[in-house]
Amino acid sequence: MSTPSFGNQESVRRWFDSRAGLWGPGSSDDGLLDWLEQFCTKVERQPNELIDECLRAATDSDSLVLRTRARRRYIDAIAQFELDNASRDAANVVRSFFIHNGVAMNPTVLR
Amino acid sequence: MEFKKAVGGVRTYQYFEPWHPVERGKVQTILEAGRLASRAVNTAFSKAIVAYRDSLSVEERELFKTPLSAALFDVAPVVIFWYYDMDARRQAVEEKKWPTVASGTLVGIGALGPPHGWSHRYVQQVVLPEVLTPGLEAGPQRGGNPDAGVGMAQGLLAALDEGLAVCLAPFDEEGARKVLRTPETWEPVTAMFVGYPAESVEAAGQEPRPDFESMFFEQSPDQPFVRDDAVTARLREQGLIQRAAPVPWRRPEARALSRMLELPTGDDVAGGN
Repeated sequence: MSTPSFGNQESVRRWFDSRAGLWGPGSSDDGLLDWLEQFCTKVERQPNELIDECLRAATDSDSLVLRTRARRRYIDAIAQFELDNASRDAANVVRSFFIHNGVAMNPTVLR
Repeated sequence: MEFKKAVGGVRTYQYFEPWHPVERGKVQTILEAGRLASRAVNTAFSKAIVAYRDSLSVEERELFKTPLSAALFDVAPVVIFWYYDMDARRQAVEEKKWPTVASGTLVGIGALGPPHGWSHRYVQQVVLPEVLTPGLEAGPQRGGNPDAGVGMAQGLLAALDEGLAVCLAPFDEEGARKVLRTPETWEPVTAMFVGYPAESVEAAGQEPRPDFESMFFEQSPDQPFVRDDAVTARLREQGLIQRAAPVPWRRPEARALSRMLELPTGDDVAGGN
């Protein structure tokens, strides 16, 4: 089966649906995919792969098990992405993608 | 009443006016304050049953009594039995009971949200199975619950704020179960005795506590949190810190009240002071 286009991947659709549910339909999606795509290019993963690495499906239920080492790796990767782009906003876009997919992200507060 | 005065007014009230009923609205206020207390995963661990002295038979009151609380059951017009509902966590997790965190309510209303890493998927598919579910298979576990205690503590302060006297003391669990028909999964926290004080509002005076610096620390337990005398003075002015026990009239007051309520004074047999 071929990989769905970047914006049509399940994790991306879930991200947008969850954002709209929380922040309302007026929340802007402008530029979100661009930043996510840049991050994915940097770490050489597709969006679904990022989430699958961090959340393992349990065998006996529909629950998910958080993989702490993978999560930690991506927390660090996002922090580096923030430095590379000198943009907290860009990094927060990527964090938002993880969070709405069920991976808690807790960046250090700047001040 | 100012909040600090209510906190400073906490006493071990022992003498109530048994003939003076407590207004139902004041009892409700106590319960409302308990209901709003902070609690983990927004779960109602705290449960309470209100009982009225005059609606209980002497035999029923006897069933509640412990050596530490016997007279209180006879003189307090209202007793609120506070419990920890040991089944609340299971209900929250398995039934996703509204408005617990497990039901998604706190994310839904924006109390928890993405800025702190929370999302519906995180709650439902990670927090629930990984954090809240493990341990449930062991069934209800005794051992208390801080949130049930916090609910009761807020109720206690509300009682003082309403101008009532209030005191906490243990009750007999089995006896209470017979009278109140409480579920097996409710573990007693303590009984709250409520009424109008027969003693002065100051009661014995503010009760002694260990030194502040022996209880509170900064950074590590070997570094006491040192009191600022100016702050202490301000708190004294605001009523948080009040006259220390014993007040000068305490012994004659206790003796007179005991005679009025036909309680033993301790000096009537042995001829003590």
